[in-house]
Amino acid sequence: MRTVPKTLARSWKCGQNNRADATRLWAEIEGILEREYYTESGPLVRRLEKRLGELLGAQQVVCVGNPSVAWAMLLDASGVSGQSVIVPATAPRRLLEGLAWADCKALLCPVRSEDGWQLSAEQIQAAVISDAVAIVGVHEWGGACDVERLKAHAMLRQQVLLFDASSSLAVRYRSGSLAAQGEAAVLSFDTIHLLDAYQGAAIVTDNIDLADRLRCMRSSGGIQRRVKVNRTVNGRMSEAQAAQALVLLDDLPSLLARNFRQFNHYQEKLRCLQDIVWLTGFGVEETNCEQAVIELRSSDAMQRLKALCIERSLILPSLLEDAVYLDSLEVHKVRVALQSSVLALPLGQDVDDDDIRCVSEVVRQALTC
Amino acid sequence: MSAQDNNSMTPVPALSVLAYFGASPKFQRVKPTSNLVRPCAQQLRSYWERIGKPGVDLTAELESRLAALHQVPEVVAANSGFWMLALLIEAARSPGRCEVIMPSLTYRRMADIVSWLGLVPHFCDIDPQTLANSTATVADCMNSQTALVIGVHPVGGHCDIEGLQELCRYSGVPLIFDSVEAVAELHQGRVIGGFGCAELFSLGASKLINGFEGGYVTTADAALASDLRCRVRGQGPGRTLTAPLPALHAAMALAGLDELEAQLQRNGERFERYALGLKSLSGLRLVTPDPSYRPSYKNIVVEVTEAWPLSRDITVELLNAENILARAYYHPPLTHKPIAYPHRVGLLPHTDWAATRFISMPCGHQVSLTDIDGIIETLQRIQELSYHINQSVIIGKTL
Repeated sequence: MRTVPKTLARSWKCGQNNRADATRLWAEIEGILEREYYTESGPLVRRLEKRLGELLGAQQVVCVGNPSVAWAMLLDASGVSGQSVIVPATAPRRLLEGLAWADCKALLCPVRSEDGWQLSAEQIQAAVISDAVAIVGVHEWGGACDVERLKAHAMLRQQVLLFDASSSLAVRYRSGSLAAQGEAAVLSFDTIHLLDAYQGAAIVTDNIDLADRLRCMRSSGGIQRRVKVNRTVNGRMSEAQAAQALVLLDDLPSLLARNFRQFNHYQEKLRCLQDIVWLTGFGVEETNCEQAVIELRSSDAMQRLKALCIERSLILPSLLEDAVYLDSLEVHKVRVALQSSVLALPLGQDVDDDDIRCVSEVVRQALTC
Repeated sequence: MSAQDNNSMTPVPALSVLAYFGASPKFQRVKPTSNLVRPCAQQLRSYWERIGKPGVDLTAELESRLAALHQVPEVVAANSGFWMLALLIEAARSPGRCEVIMPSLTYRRMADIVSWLGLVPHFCDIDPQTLANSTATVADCMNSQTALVIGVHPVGGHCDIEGLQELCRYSGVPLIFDSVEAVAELHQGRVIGGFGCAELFSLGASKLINGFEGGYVTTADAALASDLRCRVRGQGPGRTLTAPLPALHAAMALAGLDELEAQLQRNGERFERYALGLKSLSGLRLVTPDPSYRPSYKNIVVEVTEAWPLSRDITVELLNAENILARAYYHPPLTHKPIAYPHRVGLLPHTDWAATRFISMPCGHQVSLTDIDGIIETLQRIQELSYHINQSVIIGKTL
């Protein structure tokens, strides 16, 4: 065992950072070159859509080349463009960009610790947000926002309910897939998530009319039924993106097993700490442990961690990057609260047992001294 | 729909040599108009293997190579030409104004790009000689709401770069070029890429440089380039789209760049083959770029003149049945289909004239010189049978 330094000597890139097996990926690339079919809903994209549909229990899957574009498409195809949409204060940049392109006003709703920092119907009601035609719930950290109550809330008010399910691959909720909830969901395939498709995304839904509109918006290829759309995009996922995603999908069981092992290792190492709460997997039957996220209950814990020079990258970096989008005082308060109490521990391809031991030791030192 | 789909019709026996009337198609594998150039696998692998290695940034390497190709100081690449154009319009336009002048006979999604920005496409006519928007046609559309002008280089030609630059300089309106069809070409001895505020190019699979998907902007304006880089990284203020070019896409484009000269050579040979073959066909005029442009011949376009015995659309249908995937050129013009968002358009007589006259012919990586000979043969046969085609009772009901 290495000697644990007082401070951490290295930093980690946030997220899974899973890399596809080089041999298998190159075989797929050779196949693309052989077929000379590079994009426009090619065979690999179609195969990926089929596999994701089976995995997620969704009847329709539309793969897109970029998550922000996926959001813009979904909002437009859902008839929400130009109108107000409720999103949590922790809304990721991809979602915020999609809202901007669809000319939607983002009504940022506070989230709170007792809900696992997930969007809840109660918070929407408390915020007295009217004039919204849609809600986008974001399932954070392999857990779920308040799905059933959000469904009831949306149905009562005839609001479209959409979800960001980027952290929900292989997450089970009420004996089904979490990603298949709501009218539709977007899964971003960024490097921080289980599946990295070079910035690709998928829109999943059981609504075939919605799916047909999305396909007609996306490109010329992959259209199953031609329907009227107001405008189109280039939303094509390339065969290269699909190849990467397919090779990683083949490895999903081993990636999940690794995540569980690393997550359990953290839990074992931090078992002695009383004033932390595990946020990973909030509200679900089975999580994917895509991230190991803890909330520090004591008010000065984060300061002590910073004093030990725990890397800034562990403190939910996406919140720091997205700050430019926010100007609401209420939301600002939420983000300050999150930044001072929520920690994402390194987990994924670039993390080994020694890293987990080192990080755990530093966290223990900070919280027990 | 082919003649065989309509059981009540009896084609003239002579026509039975054509696939539309029941014969086997001329080609088993479709002959597309898309470039679909395939790089050397080894070359692609040599770039691909470097992805993720310390100090390797293939996108930056690609941008540097493209800057050298276009002889500009700045290149910004992203995962999509569509969205790169959107970000460029947003970054370059005059604030407080809402109209973007563009031709109607152009890329089918160009007006949608403008709409996504909440702006108003203002369609201008084209010059019948160049098939591009011109100083005169753009000037006709300029008003106090003009936020930006898009000069579009069509297939086989360039728009009036000097005239548009002068007009926009005088009017104080930003000018950008959609130069997707003019990669590696020259204009008055200068490489296309450094004109206007900036120029847009595509790395789509059907384009000269195949990067699977992607697009890039060339510019001499460092501030504009810096602005675009921030937007592509998702950094505000203003409208952003986090859309970095994936490393594998950059690898593909780099491999293609390595073979660009060889590709241009092959494209030129295809063009010459069409030129030779079309001499035997009266009525089809090969659109011939000015040699001083150093044309890429990525696309090959013919004009259907009055001497050709069939309409453009009938000709295209007959060719398609043979798996010759000729396409009606930029069909339909954007103003010839319903537009669901605000836009402005006046009279576009030259657009209307051109809308039924031009055909994009199969070319690119998947079309050999022998294939072109076969396409010419098919056109000859169609011409020989044109009387019967026109007379066939089927024409009134199926074509």
